[in-house]
Formats: sequence, C-alpha cells, structure tokens
Amino acid sequence: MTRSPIAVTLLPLLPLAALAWPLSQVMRKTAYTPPPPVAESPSGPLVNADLSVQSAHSFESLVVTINKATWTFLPDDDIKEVHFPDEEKVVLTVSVVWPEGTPETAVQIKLQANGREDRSTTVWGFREVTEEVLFNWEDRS
Amino acid sequence: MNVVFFFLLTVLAPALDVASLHPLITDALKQVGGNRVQVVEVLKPGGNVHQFKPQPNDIRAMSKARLIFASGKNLEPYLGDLSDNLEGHQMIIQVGKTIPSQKISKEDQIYACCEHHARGGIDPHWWHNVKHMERALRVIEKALIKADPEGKEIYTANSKKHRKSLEELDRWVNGQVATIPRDKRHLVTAHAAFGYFCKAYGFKASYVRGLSARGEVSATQLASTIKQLRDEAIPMVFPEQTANPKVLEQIAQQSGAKLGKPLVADGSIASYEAMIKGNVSSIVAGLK
Repeated sequence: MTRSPIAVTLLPLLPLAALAWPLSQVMRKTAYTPPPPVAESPSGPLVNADLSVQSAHSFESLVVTINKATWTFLPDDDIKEVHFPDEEKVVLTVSVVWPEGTPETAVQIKLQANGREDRSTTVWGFREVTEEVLFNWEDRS
Repeated sequence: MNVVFFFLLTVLAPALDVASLHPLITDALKQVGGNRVQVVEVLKPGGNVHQFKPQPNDIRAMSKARLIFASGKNLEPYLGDLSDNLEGHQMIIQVGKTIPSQKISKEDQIYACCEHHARGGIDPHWWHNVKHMERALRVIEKALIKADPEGKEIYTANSKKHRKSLEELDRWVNGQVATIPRDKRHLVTAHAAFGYFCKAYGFKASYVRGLSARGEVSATQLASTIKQLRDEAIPMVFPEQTANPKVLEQIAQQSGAKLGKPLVADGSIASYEAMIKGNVSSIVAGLK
C-alpha cells in the first residue's frame, strides 16, 4: 500500500504543526508594559498644614512636592492644604517658573502645620528654579 | 411689591447661622463670613471669658446655629456640657485647637487667671501672636466652606483679604517693638496671659499677681517680685482691663515702677486690630 504524495509530504510536518501554537506564544513579541505605578501611600499618621506662597513677581507655575505628593499653585493661588508624615523634619521640593522678562525674584514659602510653629523660607530664582527646602521642628518641646 | 420684597429678603438673608463663644472669634467670623453669615454673639465684648458659662437663654440662642465657634485650648471648659445640652446637631469648632500651644511653666501656674486654665499648663491666650489669628481665619474659612460650600468664593476672598491685613498688622507690631531697646523688652503684667505675645515679639515675661480661685500670692513671692522689678529697673508694670489693679498698684509703688495703661488680656473686645494696636501702643509708650 502506497501513500498519496500529499500524505507523504504532510505527515512529517505534523509534529511541527502540533508545536506551532505553543511556539508562537513563546516567539510572539509583545510590547512590554510596565506595571502601573503604585501610589505611595504614606504609612503612619499625617500632619495637615496650610502651605502659602507669596511671590514678589507673578509666577507661571509653582509646584511643591512632599514625598510623592504634589501640589500645583496657579498664579492666583496663595494657599493650599497639604499633608506630610508626622515626623520632626519635612523636605519640600519647590519648582517655580516665572514668565520671560521677569528679573531675578523671590518667593516666600510658609508652612503652618497643625500644632506646630510656622516655618518659612525664601526661594530666589531667575526664570526657573528648583530647590529643596528642609523644615525642622526638632527643637520643639 | 410683595414679590420684590420676598425676593430681596431671600437674596439678602444670611445663608448660614453660626454662634461665637468669644468676642475675638466673633470679629473674625464677621470678617470671613461677611453678609453671608449671621453671628450670634453668645459672649459679648466686655464679658468675662474666664468665668462665663452659657445659661439656658444662651443655649436657646445657639439653637438656630449650625456651627458654634469656641476659642479652644480649654478656655471654655464647659464645652462638653454644652454639647450635651444642645438639641440640634451643631458642630462645635475649637478655633485654637490646631494653633501651636505654649505651656505655662510650673512656676508660673499660680499666675494663671484661674484654676481651670492652670490645669494642664496650656496657655489659652493664643490670640496675642498676630500670626496665630491668621491661622484662626483659615480655620474659620474652612469650617464655613464645609457648612456652606456655595459661599466658598466669598469666604476665600474675605479670608485672603483679612489675612493680608493681619500680615500688615504683624509687621506694624514688629516695627513698634523695634523702637524699644532690646534690654528693656521685659513685660510685667498681672496674670500669665501674654506668653504668646512675649515669645512672638521677643519679650521676657513676668507676672506679679495670682488671680486663681485658690487666691493669693504669698508675701515671699511678692517680695521677690518687687526685688526683681527693682533689680532690673523695670520702668512700668501693666494692669489688665478686667482685673482689679490694687495689688499691682501696691507692687508698682514699692518697686518704683509706674503703672501703665491697662492691657486687654482676654480678648473681650469687639475688634482684634484695636486690641493689638492698643496693647502694643501702651507697651511701647511705657518701655521705650
């Protein structure tokens, strides 16, 4: 009994066909999608505070970051409620952009945290500045 | 005609009823709330903030209010009882709660106004630091917005405007204090009410008379105070508007100090700005 030429040709390919689907899964190139960023929720109690800004010249944008949380001040904003972990020190990253043509200028950053004394500092800049500010209450009794 | 009348009545009627247990808080509420807020003044200017306790007619007056504002820091030790006696669901807001506290030292506790306020050692007179009143306006602003979100724009704008004027007032105080030589910045008053003022504006504080219910300062303490005033050549001691100045007069006489214009210690006055300007002007006139 002789096999038909088609059968003769296709039979050796059967094992390959059986492997085709699993191989295709392995070989298929898929774009890597990173896992969605997990918002860092600060552990432990938080301190609520009013953060106020006062700029000598009107700014385009002013962004304050504490840990992973960010607060954006628009030109008309002067105060926002913020929060930070209940520790003796807090670091604020302050980024300010002033419109073109603004001379060297300054912005005062004031933090009024619940139950704590006021802390403030002045950030100087020309056109654009990013500065880290440390507020400390280690001396409080 | 009637339609117009009722329309105007609706438009012009305050949107929110609140009550205030302290004259300075009443002033702040009027500043932030403007015409949108109707304030029931439970304790009026001139009343004794240390001895006041709401009576049944006060509780009735507060029944319409949605928010009740207190000064906080244990100035109103009756708040627990008040809350039990209120029939509505009024929220009591202690304005001074989030303002940083200052302690009355153990030695100075006999100079606190009364036993209630010596207990726990927290000084309740937070308003003598102008920056603290700025914070108070924010506390009030947030509470009003929470109760009446439709008024947000008004409350925010009013609060911003009045915080700005408090900044100017604070600068004015600093400017006035700067005219007193540093070594003369020693404020001698009757009771321990000016701790926040002294810390904020760089004064040394001394108190010469105990007004507690337990009463009197001993002869030894009086003698030591008189000696201190003499040794430090204190030119002036300051009585308080609501306190009897007799003992202070005697101390002043024996130490050679003069008696200054009475200061407003407990904030029982209609205008915060008037209180600060009056106190600071008296202090500057006496010490510079």
